[in-house]
Amino acid sequence: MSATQQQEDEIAESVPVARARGLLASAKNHMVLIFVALFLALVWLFAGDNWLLILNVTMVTAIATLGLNVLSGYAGQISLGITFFMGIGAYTAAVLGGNPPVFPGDPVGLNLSFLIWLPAAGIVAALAGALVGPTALRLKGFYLAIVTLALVFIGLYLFKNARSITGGPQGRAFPVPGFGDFTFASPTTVLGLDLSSNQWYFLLLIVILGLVALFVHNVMRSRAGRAFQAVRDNETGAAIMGVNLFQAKMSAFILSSFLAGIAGALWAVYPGSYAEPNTWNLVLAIQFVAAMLVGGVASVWGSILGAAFVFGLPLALDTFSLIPQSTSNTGLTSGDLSAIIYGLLIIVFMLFEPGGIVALIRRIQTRIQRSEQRRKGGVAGDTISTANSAASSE
Amino acid sequence: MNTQNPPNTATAGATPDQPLLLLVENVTVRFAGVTALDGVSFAVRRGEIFAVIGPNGAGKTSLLNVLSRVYQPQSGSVTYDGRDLLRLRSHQMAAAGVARTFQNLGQFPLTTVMDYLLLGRHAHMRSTVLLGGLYFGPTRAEERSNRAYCQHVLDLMNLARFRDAPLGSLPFGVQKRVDLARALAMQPRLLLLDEPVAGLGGEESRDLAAILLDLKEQTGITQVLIEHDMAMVTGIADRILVLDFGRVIAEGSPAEIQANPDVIRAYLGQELQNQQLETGQ
Repeated sequence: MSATQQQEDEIAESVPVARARGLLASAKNHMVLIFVALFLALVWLFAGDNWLLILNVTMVTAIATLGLNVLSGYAGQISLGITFFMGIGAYTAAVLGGNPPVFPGDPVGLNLSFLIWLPAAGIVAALAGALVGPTALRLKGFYLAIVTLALVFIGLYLFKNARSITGGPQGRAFPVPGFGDFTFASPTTVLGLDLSSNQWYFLLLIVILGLVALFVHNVMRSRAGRAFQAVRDNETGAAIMGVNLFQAKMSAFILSSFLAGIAGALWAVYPGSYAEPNTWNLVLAIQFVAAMLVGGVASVWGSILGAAFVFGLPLALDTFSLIPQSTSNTGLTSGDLSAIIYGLLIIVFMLFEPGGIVALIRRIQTRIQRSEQRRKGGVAGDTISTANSAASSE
Repeated sequence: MNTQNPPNTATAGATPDQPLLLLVENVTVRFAGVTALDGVSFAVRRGEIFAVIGPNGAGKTSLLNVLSRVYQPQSGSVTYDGRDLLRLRSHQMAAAGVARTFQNLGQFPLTTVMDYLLLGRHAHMRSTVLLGGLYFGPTRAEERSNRAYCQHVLDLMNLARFRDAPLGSLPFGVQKRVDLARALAMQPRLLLLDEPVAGLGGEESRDLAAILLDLKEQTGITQVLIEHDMAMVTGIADRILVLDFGRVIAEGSPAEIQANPDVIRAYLGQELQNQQLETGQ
């Protein structure tokens, strides 16, 4: 044992312990998972329609936030254009799954199955991404942000004017997911259970969100995801590792657009199956950016938490009137108030916890573990701070 | 790497009849009026350790950046293994069997050691976004076998204990060895080393020199290293090229270089003076 060997032993002990690789790995996490599943089952069975609406909205927006996180969080390509791809996905769903026109001016609809129009919404949005990507991805940072911002306005213009597809400014009806006679939008009795529309949608959305989250998690722990993150961290370095920068960025752009398309179709369908072209606006796009930043950049759980925070929470505050409504026309509306709160939150998180809520939770976990170790009489290993270093590696 | 043999200088310079792997001819690089490399030519044989030395600003790093396709030279040619290297894109170098290490680390501070090595395996893996997302069958097998390969490299380099640590949390010397391990995980035929011992202490430098010699003897990987540390270079290199102000001023065996008056004037003299000042002699 030489001197450096001993030093290395000390270093090795002070280095953060391996973080669980799987999305739901480790026995402790399994316990948490079972608890969460039980809790969700209880919520699903007994929660009121208000709560289910909040959860469902959170799940739909979580899918879009995951899509944005793939491109901006993992691959580091700033995008404000997610609503453009959501719109493309939504109108693909509308054309393929919508009702055939009754009167001459009605928007088109082919009345195809939900099993066709939902994947198609993702695929067409991904194709749009593949079309726009080669031009947009020549730019970096702010310039890419500006180009994707322009996409939103191009989208708004197209959506308002393509009347036969979008119904024009007053909007159009969207298809309702279902199989044969069954639809997710109508209450049905199964095995003696009276299930409401929101309960059905809850089931549908939790399955889709689960699949999407697992897919993104898998991508990020395999070759393509490592390339995304290398491109984000250092382009020259990534190229030297053999990563084709253009290919990696395009892959991220296409996957991101695919998820945005799926989320867009669901966002148009749930809850009212009706949307105006103005739905796909810049404010919504920025809300997704906020959800990603507040929840956790480059994190699957962070995307879900961020969506809950930015989309679920205001809905909850509104639904249960937790914020006093403004009575005069000149005062703050609840919309203004939430815009101010979210602006402030983004700034606070950027300044004090760039890793988002996920990093905050991990920091607290680490602190609890340390204090437990100390109580057991173990050595307090604070030599190297672990909370930050492990934050965005997942 | 105390488990390995000390540097064996007896075998150095034993590759004169090996065929060429790398041929650099008349390479010139200019930046806005500054000539970083001025008609540099040299040849590297298979299996040798070829060192490029020179004082600060001599063009060493520019040369390495040309060889790893970060810089495009204004004129000249680079032939690697019979092909025109300058026609490859920088991301194609890994697949062509050229790996390089970094002088200044910190490009990937949050990446864990294992993920860094796996990133180095990028060109050896195939799975795409779709296959990776589904993560079944071939992708899972590929991931597993490459993980095993990286674990093997980490074991060899005595780095297994740092496997799950983020690079940024490790001391500089360990990071340097991880970076070398990553380059080796790329299974290169030509290894470009950018100041491998810069910033390391005496013992760490000697360990690293021993690793490089072991690599030469056990794997036969051709190494081109640029370095500041004259003692380290003369200890392990088969041949040395000396650059000054972007031009080649000498080329030869370590003994020839040490005896060359131009080199002593341009580089060694200054170095010796510094050493004498430092040691107070």
